[in-house]
Amino acid sequence: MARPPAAALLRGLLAWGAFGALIVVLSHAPSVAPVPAGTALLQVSIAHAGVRLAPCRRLSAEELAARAPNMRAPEICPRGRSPVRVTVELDGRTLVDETLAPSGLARDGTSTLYRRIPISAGERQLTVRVVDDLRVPARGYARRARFVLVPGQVLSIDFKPARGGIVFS
Amino acid sequence: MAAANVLDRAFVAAERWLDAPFGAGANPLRNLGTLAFFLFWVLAATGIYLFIYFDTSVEGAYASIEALTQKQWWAGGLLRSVHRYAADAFVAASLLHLLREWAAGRFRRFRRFSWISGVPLLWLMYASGIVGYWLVWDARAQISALATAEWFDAIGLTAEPMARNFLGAESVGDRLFSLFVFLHIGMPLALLAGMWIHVQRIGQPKTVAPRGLVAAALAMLLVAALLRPAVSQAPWDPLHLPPTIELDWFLLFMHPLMAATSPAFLWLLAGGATLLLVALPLLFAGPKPLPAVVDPANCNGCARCTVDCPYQAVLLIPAPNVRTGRQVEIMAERCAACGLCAGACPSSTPFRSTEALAAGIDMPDCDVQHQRMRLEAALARIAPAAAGRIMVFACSEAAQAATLEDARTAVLDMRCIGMLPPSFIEYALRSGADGALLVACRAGECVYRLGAELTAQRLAGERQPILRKSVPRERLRMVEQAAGEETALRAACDALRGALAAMGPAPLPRPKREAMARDRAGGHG
Repeated sequence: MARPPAAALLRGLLAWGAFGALIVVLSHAPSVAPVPAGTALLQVSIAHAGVRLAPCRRLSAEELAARAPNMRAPEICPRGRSPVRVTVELDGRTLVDETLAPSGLARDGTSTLYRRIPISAGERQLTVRVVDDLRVPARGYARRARFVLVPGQVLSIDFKPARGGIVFS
Repeated sequence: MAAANVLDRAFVAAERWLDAPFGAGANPLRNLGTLAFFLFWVLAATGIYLFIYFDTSVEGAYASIEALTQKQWWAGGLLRSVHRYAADAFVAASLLHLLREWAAGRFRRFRRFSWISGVPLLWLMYASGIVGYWLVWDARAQISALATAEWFDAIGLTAEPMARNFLGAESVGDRLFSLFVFLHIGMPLALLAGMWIHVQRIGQPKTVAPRGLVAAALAMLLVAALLRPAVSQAPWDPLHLPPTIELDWFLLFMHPLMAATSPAFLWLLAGGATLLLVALPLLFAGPKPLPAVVDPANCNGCARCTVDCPYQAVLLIPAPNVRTGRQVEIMAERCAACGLCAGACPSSTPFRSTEALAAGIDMPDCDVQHQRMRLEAALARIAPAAAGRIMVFACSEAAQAATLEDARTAVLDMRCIGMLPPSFIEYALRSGADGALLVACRAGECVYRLGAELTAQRLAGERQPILRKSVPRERLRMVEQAAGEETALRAACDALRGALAAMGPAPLPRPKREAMARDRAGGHG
């Protein structure tokens, strides 16, 4: 193949240069802001199984006798669990108020909630309530705290009974 | 499909513009799929080097990549940047390839398998690239991993939100990085397997980039890497987000799109686009071509048609009852009816003295018998001329050769120039033509991919069936002119006639069946 003339080579250089420039530019720009300027991020992330709707109970001798020999476990535990209600208030204004159904076909799994809420930075009062037995709404968990949030700060709300219930981090 | 036509014309113009510096062989726009293959291997090679130094742990991931970037910028840093830009170029080349094939209508019927098998590759390409960003474990990884998890959470795949895995330091462990590495190696391997499947219905697929294309692509990647090295963002910090993040819009565009809309919208978009791409060949099937047919009595199982078929439509099957023990079979749904198989068949020759010609494989609507009759009729039209008689064999998709027809020029058009057995050229030169002009599509624009290329190889004696050495090559020209380039075609024809003027009649004996041919042609010769 004959060597292409200088004008053609320039055309080739231009084409690959343009392609390279496109790759480099779109590989970096435009930048994006993870949260709007001047805001912090509230992350509400809860995965908790509500209390069982019915307690475990021992089977009577008659009930045991009626079962097949290999099914005679002395105790039965109904699987259904209570939904979990979560409320989050920021400076007295309700941000989240949700009743979370248990997962699973038998409604026996965890109730989950995940929300990302941008909030203005500054001093904020946060109130969180979690009720894991809707039959007794007054017997839930609650926590109130005051934070000074800077722009870009991420405040996470979780629920871990082993660590005392509602956890801010 | 008006948009496709407009885009097709734009692609054609750009391809021709780039033919001058690169030629069709190394023209990046004519080799987008090949370029994607090459970029994949660049990604694999650079990725192996980066993996050697990568620390698969929460604490070590970011630090190991930073060390690679800062302490050996001349090797690891450079290769990291090349890896990044090759990934972006891979996405760009693949999407352009998809657009090009759509615009040219290359998704219908015999192309259906290649088209549909390419759709899952898009998912694998994006999945591989996105997970690659997570390995850096910087603020960009933080945003990307969380956004991806939120996207999957929208369809409720898991009992607990996957996003919880990326929220705090205590939920991110070293094993997560083992998973990332597994995904970033496993998915590209699946992608490679998919790419292999993607080209299975393509005869002689061009998966190895020509040297010119390799050199240009590597130079572009290296220059980009030197001018704008790829660097990490701030380290991953679950308690703080930086004000802005540099985003790779080739691979991560869906994150801001989801933030601006919703996960459901993104699922609708991705799912809808996938379904539309898969359904496209069914929605716009186009006319059904009349497939080639095999005549077992004339097929010796030589397999030339199997090798030359551009769409793997001709299979070689065992045939115990046949002398050679094998025979060809047409897969009708894969057949493009291009006739390249007929052009490759050794029994497809006009020199056989039987009254009714038959070839081992042929086109039912345009068989060798019919072609010989057309050729002889065409030769008869120019026979009265004293000299400079030219027989033009033309692809009907190329420049309109009919415009050349006059008292000294006859034209035999066909579906693809690859359909022409070389023996027809010799037959024409022995039967009254002083020269032969072959008109093919412009280089790189053959509608059936291989027509011009195979024909050139047959004429050069590099591919069976060859044009016999005794045929004077100076009486033969092959030009590649697209529709609309009729002026250039006429100039080529005139140039050949000028050369023939000094040569006199073709010094070849008449065919044995001359008398029969003379009878058909009306008694001259």
